[in-house]
Amino acid sequence: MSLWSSVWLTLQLAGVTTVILVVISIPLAWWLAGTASRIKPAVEALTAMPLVLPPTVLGFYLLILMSPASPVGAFWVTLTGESLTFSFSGLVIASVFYSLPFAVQPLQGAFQSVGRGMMEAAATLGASRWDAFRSVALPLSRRGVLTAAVLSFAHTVGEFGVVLMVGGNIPGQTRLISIEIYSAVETLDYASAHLLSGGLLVFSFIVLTIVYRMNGRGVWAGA
Amino acid sequence: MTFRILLLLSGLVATLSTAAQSEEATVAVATNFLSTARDISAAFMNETGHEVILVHGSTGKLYAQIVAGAPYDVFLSADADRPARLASGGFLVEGSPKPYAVGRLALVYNDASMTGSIQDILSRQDLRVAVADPAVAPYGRAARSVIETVRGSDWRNGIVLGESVAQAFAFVATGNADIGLVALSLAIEHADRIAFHEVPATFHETIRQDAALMIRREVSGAAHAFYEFLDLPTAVEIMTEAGYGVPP
Repeated sequence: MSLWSSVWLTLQLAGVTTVILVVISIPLAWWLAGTASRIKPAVEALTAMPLVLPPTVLGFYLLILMSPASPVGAFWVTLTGESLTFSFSGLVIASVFYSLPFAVQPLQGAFQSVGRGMMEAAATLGASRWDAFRSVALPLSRRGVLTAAVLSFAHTVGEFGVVLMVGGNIPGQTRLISIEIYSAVETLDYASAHLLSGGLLVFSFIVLTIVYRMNGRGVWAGA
Repeated sequence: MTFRILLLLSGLVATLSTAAQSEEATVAVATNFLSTARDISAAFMNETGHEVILVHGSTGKLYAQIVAGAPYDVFLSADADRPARLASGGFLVEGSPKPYAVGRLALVYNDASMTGSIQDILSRQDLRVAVADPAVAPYGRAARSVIETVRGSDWRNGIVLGESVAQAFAFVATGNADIGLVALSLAIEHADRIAFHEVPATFHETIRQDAALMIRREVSGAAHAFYEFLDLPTAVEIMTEAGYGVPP
């Protein structure tokens, strides 16, 4: 049934996107948390831009960039034999851009709160920088990592505008839940629209409750 | 003091609303017909002095908006189905809807060196073909039946779906799809940047586009006049030039 294929596809996309995002965001956020570089504000602004730009801007540029008529898109075609637009890989790239701030920002916050003292203490005990990061900073930041992963996943599930512009609505490849809902409403198939929308409503409530539970220990509560 | 401001305000509102009543019509138009509707309403405003406000969207979305109480006077649909539903729902003036145009398809492509008949091109399996989603768009349904006549029931290979005929066209225009089956009017409008073949009308069922005149609390003379204007030679000529057929 096509509804379930879109649900399964959405979960796959969110899963792949989350893994990629966590892998690239950890070093990026670590650098942002520690650096005094002059380009830091610019990099921060770049990663936060998907928060403020309408998805149509991202969708428009990706449509141009990933087109087989552009150098980037053409390179991908020679590499893999298929075009980036209207493919699952294209959606993964779009989603990584789109959900980037949701991964980087919680991680950066978590790394910053580890603090310099902890890292210096680790250094005086003879830990290398990598060792200190791995055995001190990362474990202390595990809530941030979890929050980043959960938010990336959830935000990718909720993606619509970008996918509408570069997806091409192919069942099993690019037809995600949000697109399925859009089509269902257009064709007056309110039963399917209710089913999927209700499902997303419950899903996002549960996910956000989990996130807030992870992070929302009261200010007055003891450690 | 307050009273005087109120009086002033109510006077202003009254002036504005009478102006709106006698001079303005809000026309909801299916996106495929938008540029043609712009030309028609320009000619209409020129001849009558009335104002036309165009609102565009997909037929399905505009239909849902009308059912939800959107303040449109006239609805230029891309199909005959949605206006018929509005009529049976009691939204339309007696005698409405009526057909105003017949949609035509074109096969558009970027590569001007592409040769062969429409059947030859459509039967190639190596091309990416953009069409509007048949589930949503009447032009998509027609495009699907054209492809099915060439390829048989296994029509899906290489097909990408746009949410509207305009998006399907954009997929081709940006080089993301090799060919597309879209509204002839779009191909004619962008003839400077895209190559196209007209698809013979016999290749698919007629895409009849109906116009609906809505029942509104305040009857707008401009709305009636615009609805009638669609049948007049000026409008018919604009539509024919734009690539639409005249309804029988």
